[in-house]
Amino acid sequence: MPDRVVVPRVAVLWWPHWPVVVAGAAPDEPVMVLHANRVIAHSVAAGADGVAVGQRRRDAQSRCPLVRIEQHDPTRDARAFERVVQAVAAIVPRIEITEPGTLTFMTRGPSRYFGGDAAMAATVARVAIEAAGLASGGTFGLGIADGRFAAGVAARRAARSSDPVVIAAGQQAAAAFLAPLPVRMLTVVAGVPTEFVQLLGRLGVHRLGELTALPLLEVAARFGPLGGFAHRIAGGGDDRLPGTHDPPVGLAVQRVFEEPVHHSDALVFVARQLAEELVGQLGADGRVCTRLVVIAETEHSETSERTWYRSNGLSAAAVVERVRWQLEAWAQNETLTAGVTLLRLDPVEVRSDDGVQLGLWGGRTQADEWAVRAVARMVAVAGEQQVLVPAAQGGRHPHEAFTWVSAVAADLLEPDDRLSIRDAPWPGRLPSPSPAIVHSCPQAVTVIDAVGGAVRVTGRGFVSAPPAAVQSKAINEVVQAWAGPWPVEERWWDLARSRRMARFQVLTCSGRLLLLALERGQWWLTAEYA
Amino acid sequence: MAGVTNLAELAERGVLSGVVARERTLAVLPAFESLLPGAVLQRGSVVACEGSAAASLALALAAGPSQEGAWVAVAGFPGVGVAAAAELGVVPARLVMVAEPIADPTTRFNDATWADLLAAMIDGFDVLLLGPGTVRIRTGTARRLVARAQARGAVIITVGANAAFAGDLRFDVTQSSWQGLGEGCGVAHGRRARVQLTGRRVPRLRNAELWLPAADGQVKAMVESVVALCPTG
Repeated sequence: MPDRVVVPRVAVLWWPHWPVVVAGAAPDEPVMVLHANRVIAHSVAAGADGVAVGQRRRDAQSRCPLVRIEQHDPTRDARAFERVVQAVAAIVPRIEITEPGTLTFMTRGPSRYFGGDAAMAATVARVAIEAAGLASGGTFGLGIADGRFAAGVAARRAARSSDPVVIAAGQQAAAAFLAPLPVRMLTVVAGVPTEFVQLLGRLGVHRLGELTALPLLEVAARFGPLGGFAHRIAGGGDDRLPGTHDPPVGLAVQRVFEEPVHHSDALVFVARQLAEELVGQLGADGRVCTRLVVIAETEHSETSERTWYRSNGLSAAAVVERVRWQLEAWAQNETLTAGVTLLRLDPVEVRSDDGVQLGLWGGRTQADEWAVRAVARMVAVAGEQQVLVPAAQGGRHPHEAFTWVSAVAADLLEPDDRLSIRDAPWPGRLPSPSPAIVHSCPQAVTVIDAVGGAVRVTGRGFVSAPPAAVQSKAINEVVQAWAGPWPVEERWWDLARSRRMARFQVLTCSGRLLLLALERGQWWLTAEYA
Repeated sequence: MAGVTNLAELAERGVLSGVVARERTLAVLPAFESLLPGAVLQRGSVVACEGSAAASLALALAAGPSQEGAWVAVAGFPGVGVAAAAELGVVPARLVMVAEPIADPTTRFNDATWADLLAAMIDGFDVLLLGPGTVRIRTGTARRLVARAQARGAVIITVGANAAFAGDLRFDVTQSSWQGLGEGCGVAHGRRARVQLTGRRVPRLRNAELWLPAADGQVKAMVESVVALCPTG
C-alpha cells in the first residue's frame, strides 16, 4: 500500500548542536547546553573529551571539568534560527521547521529553478551560513534525498564532511546509500525507540542493509507496526508514519482579536487555549497532528506563517512552545507596526495515534512537560536558589528527613536519585505522623513550669518539673498535655560536633501541637503539627 | 463522529454532560469525597484552608491530584514539611517550592515579581499552594492571577486566610483534638478533626469527622469511636 506512493524529494538542513552555536562558542572551547540536567548539545571540543548528548550533568562534568555550562533557552535558539529560516525562505518556497536547528524543504521546484540539486545545495548552504553569521563556520549539514529519513541521514553525513550530500533520485539509490549505515541511525534521525534498535543489535542486525534484507512480513510480524516502519524507511521508502493522511476539512482553529494585541504573553496564552482545543478535537478522534501551520497576522496585514513538523505528533505543550518561538522571533527580527489581530493553527497532516511512542527522550506526560517549562521560567524570574525541589536525605529530626535543593541542579524528570533513600532506618526518629510545618531555623522559646521556673532535663533524662507554659515573642501558650523527654545523643565520638538534646511533644490549650527540643539549656521550637 | 460534535455543541450551550465536566475536575483523596460537591475539585477554583489544621488540610487536598500525576507548586510557605506531605499522599517527585529570600528584607519579592512568578506557576502546575508569605500580594494582582488560573484550569489552595485570594471554597477545622498525649507519657498518634466546608458553590455548609492525620500520617474518615487512652501520672 504505502510503498507504491512516490516519495517526495526533500532537503534537510541540519545543525548538529544549534544551542551551542547560539551560545557563541570559540572553536576550541568546550561548551555544553543542559535541559532538565541532561546534555542536549555540546561543542566539538567538549565532544572530543567525551561529553555526549543524553548524559547527566555530573557525568559530563567528570569527563570534561572545564566545560562551560549553558542552560537551554529554546526561545533564544528559535530567535536566532529565524534569521536562517527567513534567509532560506527567500529562495525556497515551502519550508518546514522541526525545531531550531533543523529545517526541511521540498526540492522539486527550487532544484529546477537553480539548475540541479548541486547548484541549489550550494546556494542554500551559502545563504544559510551568511544568515547564521557564524565566523567559526558552525558545522552544519545539507542532505538531499528521496524521503525525510534518507535526507536526514545524508545531512548528518554532510555535517561531518562540510559539503552537501546529494543522493541520486529513486528508491534504489537511497537504499544503496543507507545499506552500510548502522541501525543506530533509526533512533538518531527518525526517533525510533532505542530499545528496539538495541534489540536489533542483539539479534545480529547491525546495518540498515541487513534489516532490509529480512522479509518485510516477518519483521512486521515479529515487531509490529514499528518494525514495519523501520524496515520501510531503512529501504528508502515512504517515511510517513502508518496512518498518516490529510486531515478532514474544518479542523483549523483561530482567534480573531477585536483589539490588536501587542504582548506576546497574551498571544501565547490564547495559543494555549487554541492548542488544547485543537489537540483535544484531534485526540477525540484518536489522531495527533504531525504538521501544523501557524499563522499570525497584524492589523496592517503583516503576516508570519510557518510550518512546524514533528514525526511523533505535536502535543499541546509542543504547539504552544512553537507558537511562542515563532512570535518572539517575528517580533525580534521585523519591526511590527501594529498589534496582532489573528492567530490561526491549521493542521495539514495528521496521523492516527496508535500508541506507538516515537520520541528521543521517552514517554512523558504532558503535565511533566508543562512543569519543566514552568520551572525554567520561574528560575528566570526568581533566581536559581529560590526554586527548589525536595531531596531525601535521611535523619532523625523532622527537618533532616528531606532537604531542598535547587531545581536547576536536579533531574526533574528522573527523581529516583534524589528521593530513593527514604526507607533507611533511623533509630531515634520520631514516629509518624510528621509535622506539617518544620522550622529549618528553630525559634528560641522559654518553657516554664507551674511556679515559673525554667524546665530542665537531668543528665539521666528526667525532667525537672512538668512544663506548664511555652513563651516567646510570638507564642504564649499554656500546656495541656505533653510527652518526653526523648533524648538523643549524636556523634558522641566527635567532640566538636557531638549533640545531646531532648525532644518534647507539647499540646497547648489552644489545640496547637508543638515539637520542642532542649539543647544545652536552651529550648527551641523545631516544628509544629499544623 | 456525530456524537462528538453534539457533545461539543452541548458544552457551548452551557450544559455540561457528565463526560465533558469530568475533564475540568481533579480527583481528591477518598476522605474528602463526602465533603466536596461532586466528590471532586473543580479546576480553576480557589480553596482556602483555615484554622489550626490549615497546613495539613491544604497538603491533603493537594495529595489527591498529585497521586494522579499532577505537579504541585508551593509558594510563600517556607516551612512546609515534606515528610508530612509525603505521608499525606503528596508525591515528592512532583513537588516544587519557591522560597523567597527572607533573610535580607531588600531581596524579598516585590509585587511584580510575585505576579510573574505566580503566572509561570499557574501555566505549568495543576495545583498551587500559597502560604502566609503571599498575603502581601495586592488584590488587583491576585484577581488577575485567579482569572488566569480559571482559564488555565489550575487550582489554588491557600494555607491560612488570604484576603487577596478570595476563595470559592473554604475549609475550616471547627474542632480538633490530638490523641495520645498524657502527662509526660505517650506520643501524638492522630488528630480527630471536624472539618467544615462553606463557600459560594456549597448551598448548605457540610461537615465531616476526619483523622487529620491518622497514626500513619494519612487523612482518613472517622469510622471507629473507640479512642485509646493513655494512663495518667
